[in-house]
Amino acid sequence: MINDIPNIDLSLKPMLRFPDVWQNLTYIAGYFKIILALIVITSISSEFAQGTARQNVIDGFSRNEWIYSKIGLAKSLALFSTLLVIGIGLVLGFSQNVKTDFSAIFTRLDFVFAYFIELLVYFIYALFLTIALKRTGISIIILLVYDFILEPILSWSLPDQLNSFLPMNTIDDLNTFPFAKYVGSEIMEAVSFEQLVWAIAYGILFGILSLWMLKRSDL
Amino acid sequence: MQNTLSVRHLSKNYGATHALTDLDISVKKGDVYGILGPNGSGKTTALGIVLGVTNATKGSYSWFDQGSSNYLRKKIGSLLDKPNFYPHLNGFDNLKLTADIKDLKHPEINKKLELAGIIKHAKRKFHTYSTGMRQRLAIAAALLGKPEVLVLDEPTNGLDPEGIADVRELILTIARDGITVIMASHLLDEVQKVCSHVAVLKHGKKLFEGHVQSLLSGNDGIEIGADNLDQLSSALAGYEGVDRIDRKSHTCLVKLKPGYKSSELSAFLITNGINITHFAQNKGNLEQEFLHLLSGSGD
Ligand SMILES: Nc1ncnc2c1ncn2[C@@H]1O[C@H](COP(=O)(O)OP(=O)(O)OP(=O)(O)O)[C@@H](O)[C@H]1O
Ligand SMILES: [Mg+2]
Repeated sequence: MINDIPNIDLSLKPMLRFPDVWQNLTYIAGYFKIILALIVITSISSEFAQGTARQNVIDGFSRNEWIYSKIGLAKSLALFSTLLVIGIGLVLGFSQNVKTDFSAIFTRLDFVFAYFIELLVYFIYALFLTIALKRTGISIIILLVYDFILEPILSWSLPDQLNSFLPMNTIDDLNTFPFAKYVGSEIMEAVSFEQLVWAIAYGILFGILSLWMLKRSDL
Repeated sequence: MQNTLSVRHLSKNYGATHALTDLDISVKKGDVYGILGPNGSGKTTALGIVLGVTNATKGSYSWFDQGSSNYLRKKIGSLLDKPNFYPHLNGFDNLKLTADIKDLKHPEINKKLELAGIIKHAKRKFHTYSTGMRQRLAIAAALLGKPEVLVLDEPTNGLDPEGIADVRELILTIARDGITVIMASHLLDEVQKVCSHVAVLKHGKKLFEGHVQSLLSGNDGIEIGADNLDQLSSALAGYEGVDRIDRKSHTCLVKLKPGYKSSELSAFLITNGINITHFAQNKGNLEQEFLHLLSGSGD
């Protein structure tokens, strides 16, 4: 039971209180999106390998409808994961045994919404990679290489004004490292609307690119 | 009469490979239309294009004289190349998905599973199916709802002799109900048994299109044996009514030009001193015609 962990590090406590818990939890949960993206990649590449993508189109889907159905899958996965995070957040928040101001529970939910967008855009990006590359292994490798090697190098070599516009930075910057607050540094207070718009724009861009590639390829 | 499918100037290149070159075909309502050609002749490529999964390099096609929109494909029952299903769903659930995509109100899934002879395995997962079971499930999928046309790419692939007979019977029954069938095959005798019309492809080019009967008619060849085959063939070559001679190991197969009679030929040979050991009318079959067409077109 979460309630009776007596030896929990005291310094963790404020991080788990409402409303801070939303920002902190979604920040941590953001790291796990890669695992979920692997589900997106394997399920979509298997549609190519098994020929079911081909069959869906033969049976009467347009390529557009096929992409929409896969974006639907990405949306469900993002929604499921967001609901899970909300559940965990509520349990953690209420288990802090501090008198909770009811309205505090519902403040900073913008981070939860941003988390949903972060996942959705990331999954559409994974969809795009898979449609471009078709194979599971190579899609996963490119996803990891871009995330952990290529974009960091780009980001390091580009001027500051530009590097925050790189796709992974754009998604990640929806929620930046929040824990500095507990040692007195300044952190973001709320999700930036502008950042959200950029992230959504990337989602739309990857969606359109996926469609464009699928239209040009034989199934 | 209404066109079920018309294909105009269709070409497809894969890099330097010309898989299909300037193909024109028209299939009328009620036809049982065979696309016949050896391996790699472009049958699957042609069907892939008209079913919306392969992009043509050039040319166009139209279903039911209404164009190529994806909605039209919902009225087509098809089996292209190999059965494609979700491996972790059972046969029944796979067909439910197909019926959903096709917006079928009355797919009659169980009835079609029964018809294709796969009903007893309907609750097993697709990845546990044998090749023949997969093919049967694909045939059941093609029959869902009331398709206006069936497109079948090598429908008897992987089936046992009983399965082959079943499927041919099924196709004939469907055709008798007036449903148009378009069928690709490299099996001549299959096309001959099932189809009313045929297009012959080689290296992506159409060599012949028309009634199966017109491909066969007047092709009742004559099989002639003689003591000396060399003498026989040179004598035959000297007869003006001979259209074509195929020399086999022990006989010559002869096709006469229209208007010439076999009795006249036998009289001619006898007067030329040929000792005939065998002389028989040979009912034309598609195989001879097919091989003749293919050999005539060069490589
Ligand atoms: N995806 C592809 N990439 C490259 N070449 C291809 C591709 N698909 C088909 N081809 C080539 O196009 C030609 C026609 O192939 P197609 O599959 O249409 O033949 P087919 O008549 O269906 O043969 P089969 O009787 O073996 O099924 C062949 O030369 C084949 O190698
Ligand atoms: Mg083929």
